[in-house]
Amino acid sequence: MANLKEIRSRIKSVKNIQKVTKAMKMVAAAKLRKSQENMEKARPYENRLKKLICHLSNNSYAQNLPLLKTKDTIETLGLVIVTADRGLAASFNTNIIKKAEKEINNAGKDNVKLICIGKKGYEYFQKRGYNVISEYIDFWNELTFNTAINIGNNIKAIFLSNQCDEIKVIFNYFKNVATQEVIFESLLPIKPTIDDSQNNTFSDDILFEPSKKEILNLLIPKHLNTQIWKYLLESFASEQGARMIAMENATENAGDMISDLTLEFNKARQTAITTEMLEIVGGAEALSN
Amino acid sequence: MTKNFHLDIITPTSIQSFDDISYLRLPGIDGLIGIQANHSNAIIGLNIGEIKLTQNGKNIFYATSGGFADIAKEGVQLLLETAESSNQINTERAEKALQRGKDRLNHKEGDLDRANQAIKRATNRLQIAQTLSTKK
Repeated sequence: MANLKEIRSRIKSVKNIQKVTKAMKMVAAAKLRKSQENMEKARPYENRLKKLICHLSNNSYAQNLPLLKTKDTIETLGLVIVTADRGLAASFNTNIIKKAEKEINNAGKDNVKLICIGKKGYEYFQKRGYNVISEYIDFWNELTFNTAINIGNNIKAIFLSNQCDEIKVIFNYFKNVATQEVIFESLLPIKPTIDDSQNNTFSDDILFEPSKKEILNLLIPKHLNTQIWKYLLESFASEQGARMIAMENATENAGDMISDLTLEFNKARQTAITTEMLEIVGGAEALSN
Repeated sequence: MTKNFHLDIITPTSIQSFDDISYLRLPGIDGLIGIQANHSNAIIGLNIGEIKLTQNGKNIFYATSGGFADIAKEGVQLLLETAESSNQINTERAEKALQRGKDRLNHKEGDLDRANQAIKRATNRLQIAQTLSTKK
């Protein structure tokens, strides 16, 4: 019977898909753990840099540094879009792309230059004729701090050469394993958040070598790099979290489908047996008559 | 007066702690800076270069691409973007980076400042890797 054979082969293919989604879930879970460790490791460095920058950027000379100076008129906006290289992570990439598109339309398509991190966003915007000025793809598998340094240097150069008057970033913030939040925030010029509780931790008798101004000058690019490193880590952890949940759901759905199909298969099998038996009984009765 | 101090090397990807450091030499922006215990509180900007630390009479060398030193009573914290101890240095990668930087300078393509910086970092790494192998 054709129907039985069909159902059997469908069960088989769904079972195979389930195996794949299960494996993907496990891979994502392992990567998630690793990226969470990385986030943990990055925190002390980030906090200490922030403390320094808070302390130093209060001074008057800070306003004149090009990376801290807000421009009077903002004509071109640089937008850093952080997506993943791969899909199959629920709405991870689409959320970012949607938000980015909205912001681009707000500012006017011609006034926005895109810096795409991750293949998904790059492909989307490249195909639709947006102004993509640089892209970083195929690095997520071997994420190192050097990537952040490269991106940071490039963004700094773009800003300092007046290609963009302001640089903003869109990325997925890792809230917890199951939830990501799309965050849209400004990256350059840097607006240091002044936190009074942290300011007091430095006493006045500290020696600055060579000088406060030069230290601040050194500090800002480093702060930018750590900021980007943070975005990369947040995004990577979010991606793995989203994929893990998506694959878990897929595995569950596959399980449901298998049990439905098995039921259908058994029903079809029984119908076949019943029909066969009826035929036999009918035949035997005809003979005895 | 204690003669030794505590040192943390903090990078975005790791933290390493050392106790009983008797001497620390840093590549300051304007030249090498030596630090011993009971140094006054200071924040020092660091250049690309070599960090030498002496622990229990043994010298340990690190290559760094710059950062900051935060010296306080409790000890010294180095905030570095990269820090590789001399036996961790990937000489192959450094050589490749050096070659890439030189090629860029020769063809005058891209950002020359960055190429120069890359060359500095690579030569620094190679030098430090070499000092170790000759001292052995």
